[in-house]
Amino acid sequence: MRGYVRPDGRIGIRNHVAVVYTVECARHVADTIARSVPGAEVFGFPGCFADPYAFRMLVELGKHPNVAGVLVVRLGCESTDVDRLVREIAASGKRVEFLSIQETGGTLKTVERGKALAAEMVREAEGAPTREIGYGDLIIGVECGGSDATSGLAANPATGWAVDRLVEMGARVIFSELPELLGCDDYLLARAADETVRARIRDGLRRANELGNILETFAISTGNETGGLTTIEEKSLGALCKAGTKPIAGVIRTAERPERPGLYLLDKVGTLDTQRITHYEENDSDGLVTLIAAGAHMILFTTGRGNVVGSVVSPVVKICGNPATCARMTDNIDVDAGGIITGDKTIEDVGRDILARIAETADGKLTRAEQLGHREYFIPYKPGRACDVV
Amino acid sequence: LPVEGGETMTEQPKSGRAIVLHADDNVATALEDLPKGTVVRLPGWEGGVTLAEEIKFGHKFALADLAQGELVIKYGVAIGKLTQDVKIGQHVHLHNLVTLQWKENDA
Repeated sequence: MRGYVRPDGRIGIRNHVAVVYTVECARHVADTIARSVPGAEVFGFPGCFADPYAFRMLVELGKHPNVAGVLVVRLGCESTDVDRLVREIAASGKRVEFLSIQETGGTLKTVERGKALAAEMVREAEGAPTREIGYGDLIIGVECGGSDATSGLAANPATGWAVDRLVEMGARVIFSELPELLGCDDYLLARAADETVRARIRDGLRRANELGNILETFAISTGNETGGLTTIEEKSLGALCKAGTKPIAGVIRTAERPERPGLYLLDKVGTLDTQRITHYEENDSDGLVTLIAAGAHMILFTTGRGNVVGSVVSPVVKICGNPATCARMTDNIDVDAGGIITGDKTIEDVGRDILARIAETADGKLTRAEQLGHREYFIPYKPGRACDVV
Repeated sequence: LPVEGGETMTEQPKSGRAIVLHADDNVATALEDLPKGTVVRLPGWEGGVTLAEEIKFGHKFALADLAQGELVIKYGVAIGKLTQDVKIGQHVHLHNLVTLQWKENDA
């Protein structure tokens, strides 16, 4: 597999030009530019009032090595510090262009200038240097959504098998969803690589527990019980097993990136109080954005009931363990883990399929979500204390 | 004479699919609805495990005779402890397994 070498030395597996809007008022112009220029992708933040979390997401997605160059489109009077945004993305060494709709003279002129700039940047991106890469060059995020009774038996254990091999080959793997790991406390703490990591996991679990108490979301449902899950430990382990069995090398916070090989826990639960509570993760796309902002080149997304989302900067590989879903949603599933349920494949067999799919995806083969045009992103307001980003 | 489940005494025991997720586990999980009397073939269990009762898809059964108070291991990790003795092939669920997360279960 080959990767793109960016000016800051980071390796990318996609070569997008990003068109970034900094308020909803600029979205249509940014969308129009990106739609007219193949190779350009759009994302942004709709809020007019500056938000530290959203700002960090725009910076990290802009700096992401899957992005070759960035065109920022602003209206002109939004309170987000767009000059600082441009400066921080440009610190990565990549080309960053900037258009203000008010200064450029409205929609038509900005679209025209923007298309010319985006097309030029796509041409430049085609000349980006490349080099041979291996699994050890990759940062991989793991996430689940639309889980069912097969998730903890097929897609998640197979993904965990692949994650263990990735870590052995020197990759960086990120898992998150701390609030869904209640009941695994002792097991998570025992897997900490050292005392510092153990203290940070303990601190994260404490905040996740507070969040759970406030949102009243921690429980094992009647549906879970009917499906055969007995205890909260069992339910949580079914989700956690997609992160494999290796020691937890570190805990990273929102918009931080793992710097060395190993398995990392992304802790995005802030300091909480009841006045400034936010939903920890509004939807799956919100979760994908935070993993990509942590540097993930690619996401392994496990499902049972079926999920269709992709993401704008990094490809999303769908792994499904429910044979009926795999048969029904064949367009959307990259790796069929249903063979574990039907007895035709082992966890290791599917784990190898996942590793093969990772290599193909890194080498440029489109995931199902990419083929189908899924380019979701979701960057909401997150009150400062709820995400602890400054 | 027909017995419970409509099977006859002369019928061969059916085999069924289940998964053991970790070598340390003392329960397996059914990969299909398994009637009572099903023999589940598992690597390491000579002659298989005969189910003492019906086990639905996704539900667990014991891989050994387990005593009250013993930890139930799945994914190689304790998922709770038993409130009563459980024989090999019996259903392990809400009626005999409780979480380790709540203080009252320590009593």
